[in-house]
Amino acid sequence: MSNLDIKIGLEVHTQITSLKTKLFCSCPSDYRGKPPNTNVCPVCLGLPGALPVVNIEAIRAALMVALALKCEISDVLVFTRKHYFYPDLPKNYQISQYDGPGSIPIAKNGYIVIGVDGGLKKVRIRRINIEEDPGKIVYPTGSLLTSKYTLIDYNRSGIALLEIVSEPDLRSPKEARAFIDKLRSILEHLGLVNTELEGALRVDANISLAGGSRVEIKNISSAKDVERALTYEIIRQSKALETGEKVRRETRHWDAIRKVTVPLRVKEFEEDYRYFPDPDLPPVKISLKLIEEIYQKLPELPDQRIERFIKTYGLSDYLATVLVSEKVLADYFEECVKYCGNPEIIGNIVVNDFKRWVDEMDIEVSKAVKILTPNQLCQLVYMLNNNIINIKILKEIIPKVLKYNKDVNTIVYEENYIDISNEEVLMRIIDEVIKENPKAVKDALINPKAVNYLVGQVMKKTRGRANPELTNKLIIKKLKELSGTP
Amino acid sequence: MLKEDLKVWLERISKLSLIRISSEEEEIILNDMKKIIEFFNTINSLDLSNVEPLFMVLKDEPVVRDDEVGESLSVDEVLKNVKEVEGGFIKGPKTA
Repeated sequence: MSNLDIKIGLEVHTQITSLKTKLFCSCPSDYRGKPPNTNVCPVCLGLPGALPVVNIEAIRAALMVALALKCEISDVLVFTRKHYFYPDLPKNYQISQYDGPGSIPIAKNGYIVIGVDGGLKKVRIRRINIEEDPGKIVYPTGSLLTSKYTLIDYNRSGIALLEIVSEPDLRSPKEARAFIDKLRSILEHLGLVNTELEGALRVDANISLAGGSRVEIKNISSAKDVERALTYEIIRQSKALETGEKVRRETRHWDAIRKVTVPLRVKEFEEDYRYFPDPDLPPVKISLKLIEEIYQKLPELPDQRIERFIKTYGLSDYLATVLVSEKVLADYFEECVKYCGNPEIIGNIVVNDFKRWVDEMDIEVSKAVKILTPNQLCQLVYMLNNNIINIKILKEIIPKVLKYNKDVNTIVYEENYIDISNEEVLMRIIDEVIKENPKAVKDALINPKAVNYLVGQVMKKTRGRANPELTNKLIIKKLKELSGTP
Repeated sequence: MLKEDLKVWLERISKLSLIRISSEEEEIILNDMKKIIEFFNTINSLDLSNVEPLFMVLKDEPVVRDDEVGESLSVDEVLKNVKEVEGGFIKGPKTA
């Protein structure tokens, strides 16, 4: 895909879920799960005469993000009206920010460093806007395309959003995913966004291929789907270009169920939003003192944490990066280590087993850490270190704990998982295996590598409980006896 | 700006703002616009190259509010002026 000269830019909309109220009114921010249109007031309904007043904590949150993304910060906060007609927008304009006459975004010109193929890459941030979320449209048929009308719930209207826009510095769907993962981790570490909440993080992606036009994909709700939607677009556009078809400049919609993008509207010219500074909202001075105060209070950010994990715990770059890619995962790792040490073993288990199964079973990490608690994981590590179970069994137990939500000890004893390190017991099984596999024994006598097959047979008979090292040693000893060499 | 250009501008603005304008209204608006543009042309003739543009006056005390939850409206009040309601939702037009 690299020869296609791909340019990708992302627009990430993230709700500031740490706030208690909306951006311009005192309606609660926890609109999820409430009956429609019960979490609104004259301001977020855009009723005539209602006056918006900005939430001071939203300004602080935006400044925290601006500092974490190394942006230049504006010395004044100005809100701008962006006009368009859509049923989810009660005022027919969205209070947002703009880079133009009389207007300026809260922050500009920052960057995020992402890991790409073992190297590091700086992705530039064009700007950060503070803006209000529109209401939510429900489609009676479940689909935008087939519904004859819309149903609108304004509970979400006015929730504080940050729009974070990158420059088109990304070159592949994989890089786009890495960008979102990194940004998400930064937002989580700042304590501003619970990204597990439905709709808390939404992405629009712009993509163009050499010789084509810029296509915007709207409505993508996870990093995984950003990768999928962009991969789909690259295939669609490169096929069109190959056959000499024109790639139109248009907006497309990501259909997360069918995993395709569908055209929404053709863009003939830049949309005209008739931006102008909102006269209802007097500009707010952003003092250097405020910026400094927020800077002093910034928590540890992902890049610093990765470095600390490598230094303090002796983890590999890879393990540290995967752990810190999700704050809950990194917190879980540190809690386990605090509890029972063994950072390297725990780092490996958390990344290679725990995380793998959590992804495969599609459970939220925050829920999974409450099932396989640090206490439970530490018990497994204890059993491993004391030869009560072996590593192979440990790997088998983890998905069982996650699936059945059972206590680690119960599984080990109920399922008879205790490691067999008793030589006498093992020898009896080895004798059986040798008797049953004469051909394999012959091979093993000539080729030492074939011993692995016999070890495998012993593991099979004991359902993985045989201590692999001891089994290996005993089989070699037995073979030596058989061949008569001392 | 010529009258013809103004007409194109008015058509565009009426389309963008979803406001239908009758031919009599058009005549009135175009005449008003001509006066407004002439007025701005007078301002434009001033040399302001050394003046910082000012859009709004910055207040000493910022107009902000604390992040504290207040009262929302009752759903009856919210739906009072709504033409069509379905299951508590407000019915709206088809979107594209």
